[in-house]
Amino acid sequence: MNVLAQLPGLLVVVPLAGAAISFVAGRRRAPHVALATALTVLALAVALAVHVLDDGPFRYQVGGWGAPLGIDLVADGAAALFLVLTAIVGLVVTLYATAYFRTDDETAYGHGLFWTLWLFMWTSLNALFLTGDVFNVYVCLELVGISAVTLVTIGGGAEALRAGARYLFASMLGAMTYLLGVALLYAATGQLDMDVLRTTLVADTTAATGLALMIAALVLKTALVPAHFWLPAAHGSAPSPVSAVLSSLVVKGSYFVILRLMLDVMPADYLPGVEIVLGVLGSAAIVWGSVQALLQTRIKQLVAYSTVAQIGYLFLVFPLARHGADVLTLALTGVLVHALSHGLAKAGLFLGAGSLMTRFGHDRIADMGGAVRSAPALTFGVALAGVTMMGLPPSGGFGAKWLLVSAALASGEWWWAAVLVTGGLLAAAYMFRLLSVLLKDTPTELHASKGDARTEWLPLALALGAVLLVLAIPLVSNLAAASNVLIHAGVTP
Amino acid sequence: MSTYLVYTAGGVLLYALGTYGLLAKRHLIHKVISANFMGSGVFLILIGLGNRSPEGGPDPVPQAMVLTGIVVTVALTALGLAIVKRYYTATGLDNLDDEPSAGGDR
Repeated sequence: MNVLAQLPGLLVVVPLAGAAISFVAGRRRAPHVALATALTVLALAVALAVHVLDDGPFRYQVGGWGAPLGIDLVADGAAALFLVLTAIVGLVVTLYATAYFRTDDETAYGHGLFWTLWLFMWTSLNALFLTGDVFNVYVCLELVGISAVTLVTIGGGAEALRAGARYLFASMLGAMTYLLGVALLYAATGQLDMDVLRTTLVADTTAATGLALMIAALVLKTALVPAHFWLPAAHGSAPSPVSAVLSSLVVKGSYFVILRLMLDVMPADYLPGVEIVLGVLGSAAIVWGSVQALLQTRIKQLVAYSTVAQIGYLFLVFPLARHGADVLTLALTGVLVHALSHGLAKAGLFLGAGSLMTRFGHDRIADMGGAVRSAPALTFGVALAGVTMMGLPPSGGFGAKWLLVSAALASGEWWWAAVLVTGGLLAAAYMFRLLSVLLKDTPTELHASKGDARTEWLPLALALGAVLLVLAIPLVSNLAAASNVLIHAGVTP
Repeated sequence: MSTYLVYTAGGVLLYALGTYGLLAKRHLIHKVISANFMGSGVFLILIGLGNRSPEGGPDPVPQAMVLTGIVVTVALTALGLAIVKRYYTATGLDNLDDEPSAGGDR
């Protein structure tokens, strides 16, 4: 039996087993189980990426049943990228959480459940990235949603419960609408497998309505403006390690499904005008999210609104994809680099914000002056993550913007490039507003004494990763070339 | 085909009612029940789909989808009710429109 061919299955089974074991291991041993699982999943994800680079995309038949009866997993370059991103961020967040959720703190409500829920969420995310079946997407989305909502509320405070309830209702609305879309699509085509749909989809009102409903539901789950109303509260009031994974990974899960439906499953112009609408909403998200981030007085709210803005960039690929293979390649590589750099930098920012809040004992930006003096590495990490958010060279964010601007100029639709540049300036404005306070050289009264080294250095490690990503862009573009989107578009032979 | 249309029309109606309730109702329990309405509507459409080709026998795939969907919806409903109950215990509020007076200050 070829072990490499089993990797997609293992990427779901291993974190699932880890989740179950961490539950029975008890709260003292659960962190060790989670760390061991995280290391294993990272190794599996890297192995999958290498395998896809060598041999191209492949399918994994769960239980040995093939489509259309079975539910296949599909491993392509883009899925491998998201799996590796999830594994890197996941490992760092797990390490950070061992310092954040102290096992000796018996009073903390629900903290013992963090490990199990987090590994369940990781399992569902991996499954979501790999699934090749539109109904399985529904199941994975719900599993991600259930664990995410529960993780938001494990702090147990009124604000967290309120945010969790709002998140849950948005999640239910999205899931039921998605399922209605699947029902209509199945009524019209009798198919659920994405690859079969891609080759058999013909013009049909019912199928088109179904796909439109599915995309609308996924837009709600991805929190694209104007469906972002649930995100700032949920991401802002969750415990910081949870905020990090929600902002950097969970929104990418539903986005990846939109990407595959729009660029791979549906023929061009199957839903005329939708790609323009998504591009315009993405632009609106960049401006609106950044302006809101600029107005926030609490640090995690600022970071959460920054996510609303950064999600917008991901949607610029859809209008650009209409302009031929070269522009599509540039734009797809651009959004994949953006997804990676935002994933790393935003996780770093949220972890950094969590460490700052622990040190100061509050979350008011205005009273965080002098952080640079007491926690230089932490402040440097936040600043470095800001560099990527703004898209300053040399950073992953810069590489992503460069690729997207090139795509916009090559397409002749220069206004998308104008949106990208405006977004960078606005990101600079809200990041400098935060940094100008942190970098003030004033003595500070700290709530907590010297923090754990993990909480100081791990945000910096993630931010450094986001900056160094600029060196890995050739690798990302190779993986993009090995994605089903570009292979089916005829770009990659 | 007409049986299928009846199921679909009924399902869409339930889904629309549920959506209205989820968005417009203030009370949190109403919202949870409304989400269940939406689910029932979709399940009704899917069950109707299984009956589309009487000559070939029932289509098992929509039934499998409905079974899976019911399991997921039960779990979501339980989670929703648990959160609503905890929120009520913590704040004494039964809706999300009123601001809680004592917030969990993070």
